[in-house]
Amino acid sequence: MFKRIIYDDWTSIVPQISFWLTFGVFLAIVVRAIFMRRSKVEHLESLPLKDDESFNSKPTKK
Amino acid sequence: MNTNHNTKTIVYDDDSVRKFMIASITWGIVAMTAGVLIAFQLNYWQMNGKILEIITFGWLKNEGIEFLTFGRLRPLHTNAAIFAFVGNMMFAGIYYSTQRLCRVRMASDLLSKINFWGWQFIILCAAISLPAGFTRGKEYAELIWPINIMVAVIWLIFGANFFWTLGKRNEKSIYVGLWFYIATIVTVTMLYVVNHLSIPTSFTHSYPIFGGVQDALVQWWYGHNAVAFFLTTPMLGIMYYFVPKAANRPVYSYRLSIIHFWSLVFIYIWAGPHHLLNTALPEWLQSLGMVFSLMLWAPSWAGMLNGLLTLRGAWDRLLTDPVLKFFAAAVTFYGMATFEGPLLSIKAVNALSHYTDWTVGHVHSATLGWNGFLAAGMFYWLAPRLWNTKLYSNALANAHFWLGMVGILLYVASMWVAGITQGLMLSATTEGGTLLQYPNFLDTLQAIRPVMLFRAIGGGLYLAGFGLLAFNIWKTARSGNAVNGTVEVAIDEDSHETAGDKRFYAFLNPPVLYALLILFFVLVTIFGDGAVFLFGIIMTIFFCIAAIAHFEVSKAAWSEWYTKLLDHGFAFSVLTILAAAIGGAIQIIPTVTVQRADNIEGRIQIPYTPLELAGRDLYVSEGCYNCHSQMIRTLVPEVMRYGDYSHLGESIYNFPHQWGSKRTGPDLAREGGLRSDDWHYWHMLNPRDVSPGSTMPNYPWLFEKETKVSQLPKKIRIMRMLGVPYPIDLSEEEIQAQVDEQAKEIVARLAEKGAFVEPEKEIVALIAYLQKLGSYRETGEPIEASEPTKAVEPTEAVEPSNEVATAE
Repeated sequence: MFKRIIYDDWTSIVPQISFWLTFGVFLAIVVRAIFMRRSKVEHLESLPLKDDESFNSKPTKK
Repeated sequence: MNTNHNTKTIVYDDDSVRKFMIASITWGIVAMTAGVLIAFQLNYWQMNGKILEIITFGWLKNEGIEFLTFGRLRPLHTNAAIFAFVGNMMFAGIYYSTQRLCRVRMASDLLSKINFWGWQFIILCAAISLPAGFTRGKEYAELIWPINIMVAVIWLIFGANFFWTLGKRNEKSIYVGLWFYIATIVTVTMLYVVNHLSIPTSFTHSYPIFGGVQDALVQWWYGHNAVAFFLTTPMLGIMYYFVPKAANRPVYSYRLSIIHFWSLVFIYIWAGPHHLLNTALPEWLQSLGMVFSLMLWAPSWAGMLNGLLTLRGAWDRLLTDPVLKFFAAAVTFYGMATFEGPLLSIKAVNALSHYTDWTVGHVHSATLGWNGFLAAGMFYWLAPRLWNTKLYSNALANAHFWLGMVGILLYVASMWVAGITQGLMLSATTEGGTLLQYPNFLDTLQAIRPVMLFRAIGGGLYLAGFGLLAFNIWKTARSGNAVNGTVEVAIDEDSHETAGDKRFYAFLNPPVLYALLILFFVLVTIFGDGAVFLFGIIMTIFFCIAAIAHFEVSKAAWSEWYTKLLDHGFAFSVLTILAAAIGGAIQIIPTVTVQRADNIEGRIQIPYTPLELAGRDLYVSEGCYNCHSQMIRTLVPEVMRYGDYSHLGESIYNFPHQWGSKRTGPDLAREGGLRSDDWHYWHMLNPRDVSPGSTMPNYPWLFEKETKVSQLPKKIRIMRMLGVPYPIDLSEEEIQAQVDEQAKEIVARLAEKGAFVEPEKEIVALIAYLQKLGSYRETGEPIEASEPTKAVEPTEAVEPSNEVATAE
């Protein structure tokens, strides 16, 4: 009997809790992303594009 | 604060990148060749070894070679594709981009070398052990325990090298690509360790600590998230670095990439149970799996659109630049696969698709289209830079693209047709739904054989395209010189001195402390009774109000917290693992603590006799689970075909579970007693003698090799440790006596039917196991009172599969 009560509660409640938990996380991240400073965003998105690299003709150790 | 800037020349370690890239291409060819071979095996059983006799005009005489069966080579194919091809490609991409994004050389050349050579050694061990039949019997987790330990060690070395590099970085901010790498490293560690917890019985064999439903849940939590965190998150990190590089423009929306990352990491981990829909898995877990899979649509498409729109303004270059062409196609396949995945997770769709080729097609559209094309684009972009030259041939790269594209489309379309056709045929009924329209499983297999052949041809085309890549990269490398990238970097010496303080601040700040306190008192409320429960509620409310009040007073400081967190690799990693771990914990902990044999009501499995246990280990070793499930789903057509649906307790003592994920042959959950011993004897010797049209391999070596009875006492001792109710005082002599007695009974029954074999041979143990499948007793009923399953007399010696089942 005890086991069945636990199962029945989980079946109905858990997906709901999970959804609201996920929705909460999602909302928090959206808010943080939207309010991120423009200068910070521009700096971060430019990181892969730095093009100041040259090449050694031979592989060199550190 | 004064800062002191000096410049320093950094020489990147591109030698490791080159080595990983070459290894990825080499192992990719091995993985794809194995894939094409096993695809042909599904059409022509002779490809399981007999073909060698044919092409050598009888010189290599055999009825089948044990090292070449589908059951043994399919794990080799999947492991090689995932860990060898994509794994090495992932390392190449991570080593290259991490150094550039951190503007520092990898922290330790020694660790990089150990990472490379250790990983190749692991792959070599896998390539030997899997065809030899050494397996744990769990999909994508087949490698035996000594190799598991090596994987864990090498992975930790890779992680240490990565985080050390991150700690030494000369760029303060952590780019989103690195976030995805962090998520990969921490989450794969967690998944791999939990799913590989085993107790060794010998150097080459172990039993997992989870069994039955627990094992199924843990396995697919791992299996699904191996896709998520080994085949997706590192690829997304690579996408966020290499696509902007190739397009020479920043990512379409950095803000969207943040939402993409956190949503994906948080949601993905919950979706594992969608591999077990309509099974004996508790309903609430199935619901969770489906709901979270559908929610995955949003972050996945956010990432896909972000990747594609990064190419805005560069679309014209797609005509001429093979790199962009591969990237655009790869991201498109990511979108297609992540649309199809949630679709297949809807229970009603899954009822049709699961156990069919539709799932196989879905997996391959992601692996070949998303991973494979991203790898190709990255390799074509990297090769000229790593060897300081031009790509040998754009024309060959374009030919590769179209061969690969046609190959994938042929493959995936064939699998859609095959899966839907077979799924519909298996559930088709007649006479007002009272009889199956196709009671013989083999009828459904014959119907899809032509399209399965197209699948093999599609795979062959993809392999041919990849061969062009190997040739192109080889010629490119030959035309240039291996070089390492160098860069002048401004060193902010003061920033290193204060890094420790900042890292500390990332944890000890009001938002984190309030969150931890509230979480703690919520748990007190949930698990406490009486006064403790009341105390938990009061304290939860108190800290919620205190947090709101504190936030109102110091808004500015709080809003800085998240921005600062993004600059702290360690704090960020802790947050990532928390986001990823919560889903698994909520699903696995209740299942492991509640779904135990002690709590089962109704049917419970009867433990195997020693001989049956030996037979089961053979079944696992031969990889039978690759084609046969042991799970009758709660669907009417399945019950009509195979018998009563599988109850949770009926596989509770199975270490590992064998529920399976694909039915190239019929389900075997209630195989015991369905057919006679001699039917199985002839079937294993040559399946076509009793099941005309079958594509199953012959297993002649089972009639020659002897069952390893000497290992049984230890195995049974470990089974007892895992909770299987074997008698505590079972001596080695008693085990041997039980084996002898049961084997002689089977041999005698076989002899009556004209099938002769010695009792020590492996086939006898396997028949004992197959005849035990589906045996159970009702809880409360003593084990001794349970009727052991009896073998039935066959109606005819040659009886097609499932006609007996249907008649019942």
